[in-house]
Amino acid sequence: MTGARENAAQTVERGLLSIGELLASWGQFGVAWLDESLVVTRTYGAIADHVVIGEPISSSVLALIGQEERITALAMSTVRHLTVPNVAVMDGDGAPTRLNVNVFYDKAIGLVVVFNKVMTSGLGDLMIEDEIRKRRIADAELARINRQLEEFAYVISHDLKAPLRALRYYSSDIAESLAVEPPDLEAARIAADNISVATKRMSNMLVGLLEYSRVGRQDETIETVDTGALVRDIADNLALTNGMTIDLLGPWPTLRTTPVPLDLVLRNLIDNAVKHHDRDAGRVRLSTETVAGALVFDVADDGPGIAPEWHQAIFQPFSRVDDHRHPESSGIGLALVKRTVEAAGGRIEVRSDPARARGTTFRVTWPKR
Amino acid sequence: MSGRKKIMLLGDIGVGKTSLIRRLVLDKFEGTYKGTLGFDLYTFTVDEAGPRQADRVPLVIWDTDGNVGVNILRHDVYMQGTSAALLVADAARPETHTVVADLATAFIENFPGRPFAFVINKSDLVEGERVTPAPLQSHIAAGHPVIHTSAKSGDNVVAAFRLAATAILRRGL
Repeated sequence: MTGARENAAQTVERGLLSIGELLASWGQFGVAWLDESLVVTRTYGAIADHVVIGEPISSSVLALIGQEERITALAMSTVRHLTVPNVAVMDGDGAPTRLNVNVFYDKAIGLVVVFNKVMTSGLGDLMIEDEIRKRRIADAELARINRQLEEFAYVISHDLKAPLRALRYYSSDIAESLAVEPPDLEAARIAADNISVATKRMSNMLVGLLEYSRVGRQDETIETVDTGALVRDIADNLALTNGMTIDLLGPWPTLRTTPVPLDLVLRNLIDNAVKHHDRDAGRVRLSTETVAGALVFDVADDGPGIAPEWHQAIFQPFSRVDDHRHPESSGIGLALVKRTVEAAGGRIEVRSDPARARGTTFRVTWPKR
Repeated sequence: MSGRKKIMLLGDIGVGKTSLIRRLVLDKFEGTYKGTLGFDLYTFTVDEAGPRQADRVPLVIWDTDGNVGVNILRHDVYMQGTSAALLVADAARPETHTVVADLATAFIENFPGRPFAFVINKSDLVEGERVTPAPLQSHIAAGHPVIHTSAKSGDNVVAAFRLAATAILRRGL
């Protein structure tokens, strides 16, 4: 039995030595042995290579400068070790090795200094890099928000002035119409109607602007959406003239997505296609394409079309191509659509060239969740 | 025994402790901030630290993590064998002046008789006359020196460490 126990103990010892050799070869730990005068007598492991044999330990291990008395006292103290944790010697621009410096006293072994590499240093660096990465993302987001703020400032200072100006002009028209003898009541009534239109437009603009500012800032729930049912519902609720038809060309799939923004995009595009049609009779085609990871749909009309020079401007808030036909329109619909699509991670493009053919197609790529 | 003397660089986060030591040892300045994790040790020898040309003081300088605050002064394992300290503040951030004033009080309490000096770094950021921060007045009146430095320009950086080396030499620490 005794022989078996000794064999087991020897196996454990050999195993521990192997692990020690392995760790030392990886540069994870090293040892320096000291004599009573704290002079280094031998070293083990690459990590202890910098320790000079024959010299006092503190001449090569800077972290132990000033600790000599405490080290000497270890042999007489009940506390048999001291540790100086997490120190690095900086001798240039390179990344230093960060060490815990542990001094032990054992009656059989004497004084030893054990160095072990601090793994948290690497982790710390990773954390800093992660922090920098997060900050860069936050900076980019801040820059984006600042651009939006500038855009808003411009919109508010410039575009909202137009209906205000109209209010001023029409008010003075009323005053002038009523100042003559006899008063021109018909002119005053027309000016009052125009004031009503301008205030409605301004109200629509403000509501639209508020909606525009909220895009992407609200937590939208993801639900299973039957897109076919959604577009049918939108089409059924539109006030269509007799000559206007909406064709639904499939397949409109069921998918996991945020229903409210998708509804907003479809509703605005279909409504625009109908509202901005220039003839009594017309056709709007709603079709889809199957693409992996996204719902791609087209809203195509056979209306007057949009000249290429307007293709970018129509997505700016309050830009209106046919201003005279819908004076109360806010002009923010397509800007709202674009912003909603992009907030969902998708994209929108417009295809139209009235010089070649009538009609406009808006193609939306809407990512599935 | 090593002939090197141990100096601690203490002060709030971001006051420029690492920039000062890197300017001293490597003659470099980096505008980007990277906090010190744990303790970084640098060596530097101050020449002409005393009246004689041969008065040289080899130093090991401990650059510390600004997060440790006053607590470090109660940790023997780090502070043991410290010959002197430089307490670093940011000229443009008055809250860091209060931090070094607290550090000074704790240093006197834990290491009576050991020299220390106040280093008001980033003096390049402050225009006009260099004013001694109010929280330091009582310590300065008690004879603890203050020096204004700029790690960015290098102004007074060597002088700050010479101040500590000279005090160590004079007191035979």
